[in-house]
Amino acid sequence: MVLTQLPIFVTMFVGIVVLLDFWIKQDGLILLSRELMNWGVIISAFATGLGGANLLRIHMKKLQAQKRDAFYSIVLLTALIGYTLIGVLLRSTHPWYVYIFNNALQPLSATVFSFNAFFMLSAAYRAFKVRTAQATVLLVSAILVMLGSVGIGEVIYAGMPAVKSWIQNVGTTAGFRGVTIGTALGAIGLSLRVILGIERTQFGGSGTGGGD
Amino acid sequence: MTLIPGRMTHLIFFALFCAATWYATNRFKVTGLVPIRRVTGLDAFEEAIGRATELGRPVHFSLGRGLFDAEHGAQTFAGLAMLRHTALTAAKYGCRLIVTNQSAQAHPVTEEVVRQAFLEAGKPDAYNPDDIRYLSEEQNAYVSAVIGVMNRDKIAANVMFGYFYAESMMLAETGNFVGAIQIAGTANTHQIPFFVAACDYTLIGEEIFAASAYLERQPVQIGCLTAQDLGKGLAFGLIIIGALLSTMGNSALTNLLKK
Repeated sequence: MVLTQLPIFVTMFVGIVVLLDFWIKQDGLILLSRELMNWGVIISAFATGLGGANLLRIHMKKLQAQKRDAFYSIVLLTALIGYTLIGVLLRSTHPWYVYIFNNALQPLSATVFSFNAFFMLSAAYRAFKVRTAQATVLLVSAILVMLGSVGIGEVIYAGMPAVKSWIQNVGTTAGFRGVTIGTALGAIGLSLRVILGIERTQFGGSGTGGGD
Repeated sequence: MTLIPGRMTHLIFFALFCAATWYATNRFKVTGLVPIRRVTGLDAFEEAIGRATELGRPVHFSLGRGLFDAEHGAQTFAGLAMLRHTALTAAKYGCRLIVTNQSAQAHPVTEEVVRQAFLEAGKPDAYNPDDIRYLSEEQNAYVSAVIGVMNRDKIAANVMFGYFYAESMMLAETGNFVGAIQIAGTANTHQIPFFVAACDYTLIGEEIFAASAYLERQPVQIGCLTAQDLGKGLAFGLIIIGALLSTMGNSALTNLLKK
């Protein structure tokens, strides 16, 4: 009973304190709120340790089972343990640490991110097929924005950059603001349920923990 | 003890929202009648997981960035509700569920949500902790790992709910390449177009927060949903009145909202 109720009580207490800190100026409340937020950072650091342990466990198991793609587990474990040791023993300013970061991690990261260009192209090709009225609006808007962004658009029609700006500043912004208002209201509703202990999915329970 | 200047409107609006939720919850308990429009993305869950089961291939779930402490934490909570629903459905059908985490914060929580869902579905033995994986906090490392998982395990359904950054497009397109049915939902306006372009079903903005109410239809959830709609009506009214007043050169409403 205590084990199930305690996390709900802690969530409620922390939520109410941080919420009140948003509205009320009171020294004790400010200190308590800051302290609780610092604890959040510490808990996150512990969670990173748990995540690392999960990686180690899963890839050690893969190695033991000698699965087909166990080679990738060797690469991962070597990088994980090796880079952690270098960082802990030699510090993150050591030339080895910086060299690996600049010459392995950064280029690999940039390579993966560059996939986005190809993925966008293939997704756009599918999305721009005129199948429905909405897809047609999307296609026409995209063509106008693209033409308004390049020189040839202005050659075709001098007002093309203005059309592009109108679509982006009026049409798109209005739509986004509608979504943002709805999202903010949804977030308030969900946060309220979490703070009051009604929404308990995060503890593994159902969405309604007795608030009904 | 004083109220912080400039936040009075927030407090009044929050109090109104709480009152509307309380009223709508009690009203629903009495009448039991609140029509909710169909959300095709949520109706497609059974189809997606059923198809995965028939094909004997797994379902993949991602919470995206998965942080609880940032301003988009509410989306992570909404994603957890969808994870629970996905896990319950997967357990019911006897389908394998793979959850990949980009956030160490979310990892133990997702483990618990899936474990409890399998327990609730009466299939505790089907729960495999090795299928709930923490991959990396680093965005591109996470993406490359998920691309690997999707291709190696040949997933048949890809469910993505929560706050996503640029990984949205890469994950959704990879899911499309492996032939998975894709259901996604986010409130990040910059990523919604990517999901719309690449996924079969997309829940936009507030729909991800309404999902648990749509699926479980419990009084408090319905009450919150009704309060959201009333809030939207109020926002719409304020926008119209504010636009008219501003056009006439009157800034009374703007000044009032700044209090």
